[in-house]
Amino acid sequence: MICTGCSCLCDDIEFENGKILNACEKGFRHISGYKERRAKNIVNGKEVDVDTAIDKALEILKSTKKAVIYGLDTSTVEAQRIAIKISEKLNCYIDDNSSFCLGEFVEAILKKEVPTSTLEEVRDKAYVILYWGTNPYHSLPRHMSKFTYYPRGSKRNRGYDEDRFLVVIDVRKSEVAKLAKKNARFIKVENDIELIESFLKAIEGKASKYDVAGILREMKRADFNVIFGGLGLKYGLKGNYSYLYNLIKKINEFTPLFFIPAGFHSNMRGFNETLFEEVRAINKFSFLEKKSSPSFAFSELVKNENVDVAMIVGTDPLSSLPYEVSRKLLDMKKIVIDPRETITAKIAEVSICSAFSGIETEGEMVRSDGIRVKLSPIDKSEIDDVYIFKKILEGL
Amino acid sequence: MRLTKLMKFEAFIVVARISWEQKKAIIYLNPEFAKKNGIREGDVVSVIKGERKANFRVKFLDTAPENGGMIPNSIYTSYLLDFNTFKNFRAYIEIVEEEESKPEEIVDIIMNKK
Ligand code: SF4
Repeated sequence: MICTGCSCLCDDIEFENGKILNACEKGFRHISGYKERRAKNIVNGKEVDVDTAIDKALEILKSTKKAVIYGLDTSTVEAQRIAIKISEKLNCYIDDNSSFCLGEFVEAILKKEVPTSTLEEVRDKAYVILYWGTNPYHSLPRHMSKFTYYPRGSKRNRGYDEDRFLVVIDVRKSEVAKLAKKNARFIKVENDIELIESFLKAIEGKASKYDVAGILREMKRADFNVIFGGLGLKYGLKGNYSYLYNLIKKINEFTPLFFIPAGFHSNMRGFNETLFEEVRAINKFSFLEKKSSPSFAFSELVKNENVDVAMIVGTDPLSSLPYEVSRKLLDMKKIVIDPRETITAKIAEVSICSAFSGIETEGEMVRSDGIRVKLSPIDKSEIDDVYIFKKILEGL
Repeated sequence: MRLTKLMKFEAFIVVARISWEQKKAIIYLNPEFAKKNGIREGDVVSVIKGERKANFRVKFLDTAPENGGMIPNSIYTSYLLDFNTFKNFRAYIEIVEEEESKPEEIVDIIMNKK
């Protein structure tokens, strides 16, 4: 079975005598707890059957010209494709969590602005492995043990303390930073831009605020190095993504360095790639204006009261978005489609219970490095995102 | 009466994902920072950011930042923050004789303050 607990999409989950094997604790909870706290089909506070809830959702969607479809990062690629068709038919906005998560990094990769690679290549070849603004211990628990630092690779077969050089950059000494002992460095960063400047100065042989010359020396020793960039890096860059991409380019002039985003929902990259295939934009897209814009991000649309209906899929904006956004959610009609009961569903006009992708429904997802993975569910639910979206699309 | 109950401390707080399920409002304080400021494990502290505040039960964690603590991504952090301070922020904390915040209380505040 494939675990859809995070964007590692581990493919080695097995079952033996009722036990779940190989999953991390996060994956174990995700798989074993899928029957708990399920959403209900509700219309205006009353429990109804699923088709009545879908009919009400349709009625709301047909009644507006200012809708947004938001979320979809735990839906399969097949479901995401239909959701995009619904947006097109409604001439409305579509966005996912990547607009405040790691969308910019995925976009740079899809537009080939930064060199990237796969986790298998990292396992086999990587020497310097740099985690920047991410703590996989919690967000991607098996990243290091299954794919990157710990496994012996075909070209890195002497074990991690000899054949890998670990670098962790974080604002605190996280669990992963504590591993930075032998053949490793931890940099406690206060300002990511200054750290990038330090790298650039070190390339020119100049002294700088952060002592990074040793890391560059290690990179030069190898023919494969990788940066895993997380949310801490994204927010640390304060919008200056080109600083990072320029640094990667500069380092690539003397040694190969790849970039892979790290730490997001199981199929966020799938959403980005699916939308990109359709409209050459990865998120915050308006089918009415036929373009993507920062002002079309879900949070901006809600904050600026530019939409009056939101169809929210597999995400909980009332608990995950800042107050300035969440308080404005009250002013609009909300259709929530989710396998799990959420706080947003409690204040929604319509709540529809869907299935857990990968556990109860098959399909495809895209791993954080862009590898496509076919899901192999252990249960079957007739009512999944594909069923719900198809019904909505047909009804429009 | 503990003297530290009357004081406010400035803290650097990181917002982080954690892999175990997190429903309660918990702040993981760096043990040294907490002890220096007279905060004990199990205390409830108010985290005050501008006009907004939420109450958290204190646990100690040595991977929390030296000059403050760590709060898991949750409705509580979303309520306190904006996009400029989404991953880390500075706030005041004070010990309170109240319970930790509940999700419903935050929802009520959000709904009433609109
Ligand atoms: S690392 Fe992620 S995908 Fe792998 S078992 Fe854990 S939660 Fe599941």
